[in-house]
Amino acid sequence: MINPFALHGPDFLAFYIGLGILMVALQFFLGRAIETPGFMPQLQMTDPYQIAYLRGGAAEALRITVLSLIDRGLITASGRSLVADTGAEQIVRRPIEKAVLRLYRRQGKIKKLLSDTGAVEACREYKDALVDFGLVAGPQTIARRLIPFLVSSMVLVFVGVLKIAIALSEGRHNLGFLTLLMIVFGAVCIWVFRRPRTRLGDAMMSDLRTMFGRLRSRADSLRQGGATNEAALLAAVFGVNELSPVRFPAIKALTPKEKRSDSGSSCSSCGSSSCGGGCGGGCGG
Amino acid sequence: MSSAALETFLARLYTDSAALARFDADPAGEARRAGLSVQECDALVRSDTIGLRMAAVGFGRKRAQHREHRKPLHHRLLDRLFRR
Amino acid sequence: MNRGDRVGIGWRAPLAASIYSHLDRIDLIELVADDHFRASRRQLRALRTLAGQVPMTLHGVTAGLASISPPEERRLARMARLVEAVQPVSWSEHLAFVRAGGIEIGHLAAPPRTEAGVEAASRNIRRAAMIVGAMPAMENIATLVDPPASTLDEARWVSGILEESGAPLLLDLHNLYANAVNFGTEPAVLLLRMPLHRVTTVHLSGGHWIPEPGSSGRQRLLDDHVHDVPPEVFALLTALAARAPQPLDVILERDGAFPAFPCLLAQLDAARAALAAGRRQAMQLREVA
Repeated sequence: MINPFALHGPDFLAFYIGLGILMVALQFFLGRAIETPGFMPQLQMTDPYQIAYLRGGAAEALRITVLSLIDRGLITASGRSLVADTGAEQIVRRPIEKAVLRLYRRQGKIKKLLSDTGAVEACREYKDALVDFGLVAGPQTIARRLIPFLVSSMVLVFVGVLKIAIALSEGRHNLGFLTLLMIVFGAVCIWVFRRPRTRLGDAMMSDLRTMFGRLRSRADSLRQGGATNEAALLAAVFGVNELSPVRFPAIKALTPKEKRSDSGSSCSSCGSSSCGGGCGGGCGG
Repeated sequence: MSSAALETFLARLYTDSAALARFDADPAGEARRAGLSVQECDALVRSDTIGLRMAAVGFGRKRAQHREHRKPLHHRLLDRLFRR
Repeated sequence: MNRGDRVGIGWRAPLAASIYSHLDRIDLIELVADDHFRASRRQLRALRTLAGQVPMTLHGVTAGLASISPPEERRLARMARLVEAVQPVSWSEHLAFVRAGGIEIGHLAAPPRTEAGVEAASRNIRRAAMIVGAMPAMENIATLVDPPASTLDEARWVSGILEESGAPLLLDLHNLYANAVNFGTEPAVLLLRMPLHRVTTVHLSGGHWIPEPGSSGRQRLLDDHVHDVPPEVFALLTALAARAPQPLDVILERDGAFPAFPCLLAQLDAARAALAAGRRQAMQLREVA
């Protein structure tokens, strides 16, 4: 068996990259296996704000709240500016909506909302519920992930530091790439450790995308000011970028510098049909 | 007076316009040639031929709808690849 | 409405988001099972999640349980797999045949209504219940043709099958209405002759009149699921609720030409009102008695 510490240069870097990938994968899969039970509990996940929080945290929940308020005519968007209509706060009941409307009593951009601690705090009820459901990582989940994180990161640090020590003792100083790899893998391990959704949360998000996959193909037909919640639901599940900027001009105000959000992976839905849906148009003929 | 042969005969009338046309022209003869019993042949001669024709048209439309919704495999693969 | 009465809607892809956004006004949903027989594990899990949000019932369309021939076991096995994965509150099928002699009709056809047919259908239904693990509710279908070689009328045939198989009845009121008007029966009379004590589920839908071929000028009502529920069908629902004291699941079926969703919600509310009116009538009758 080859002693990896006897490898030099690109050979050792290749070994370290392989080790890094293995350790990150181990941390990820072991963490998922032990963080939550294997079954999906019966949950009520019909609130677009909660779904948006699951997908992208407080920022997304607030973004979808603004979208919903625009759609209902309680916030006006002109260009990238948002302003709440007078008296709108009295109409709504949800704390998150009140917080958003309060903030936009005076005209402002979306960044104002996303950096407002009061607005973020108004999302706490969603975070708490998602943590209770086991969909978002809370203290218990973090605690369960700790050992896999420590094991992977310590192995990587130990191997890297040992190699650095050996190299230095042999008078070699070309350690830049190894140092960079240690930093990169360290960051990846931290990201895996701190990722916001649990395995159940990922499963729930995947289920929602599967259920509403067909809605994406109808995104172009959803108009601003529609009488249904479809736009908010579509945006909650797939991101505001799924809406047509022509039919929904307000999304310009919601996505100043946002890259395309985490899209669904399925183009099917619970309603997809090879026979046109339904009994086929009538029960008998 | 139910038999697999009778159901098969009806299924043919609902799906084969030529068979339905032949039945319209000679119901007793067609039923006999299909190997149906005497009672079944009599019943078919007295049957609701207008309804049979209307049902056949309706079923034809449904089958056409099913075919439309069943895309060829390569179309479905392309859909999946490009998330159409 | 009885405390146990529920009003819901058929789950269709174009309505998915609207239904999901209005689950506070929808008591249950009905999924066409055959659309999901080839669902992947991920899709099945999504269905299971959906069933966790709102009570779900599965509705099969291709088993052909009223055929004289036994159903294809692989279809029933698929239904069983779906029921196992999704855990619906119930499942249902149709009193129809859909294939014979290797020929696929492509839709639900009315078989000859005979005693032999009753026996065969009952056997098929019991077999289906055994494979799937639960008894299906069986639905009366609409037919444009008076089934040839029939020796029983619709009510006696349906009653016979349900009594012999033990299956509950999914009473499609528009199908009943269409068959009545197409073949010269009073809809209310046909309703009363059905085994109302067996009804667990009710379907509501709409249709339109189509001309008979030839120059007779006559028309027949086609149950097409793309029109609103007519007032006559709501009246039948009231009559049913007045005579069937057991809890009823009422499902609105709409397969196309979808109106704005508030319009469909209004039909659900109309169904609730019709149920409530029937329940009130029943109470008044009991008080008088």
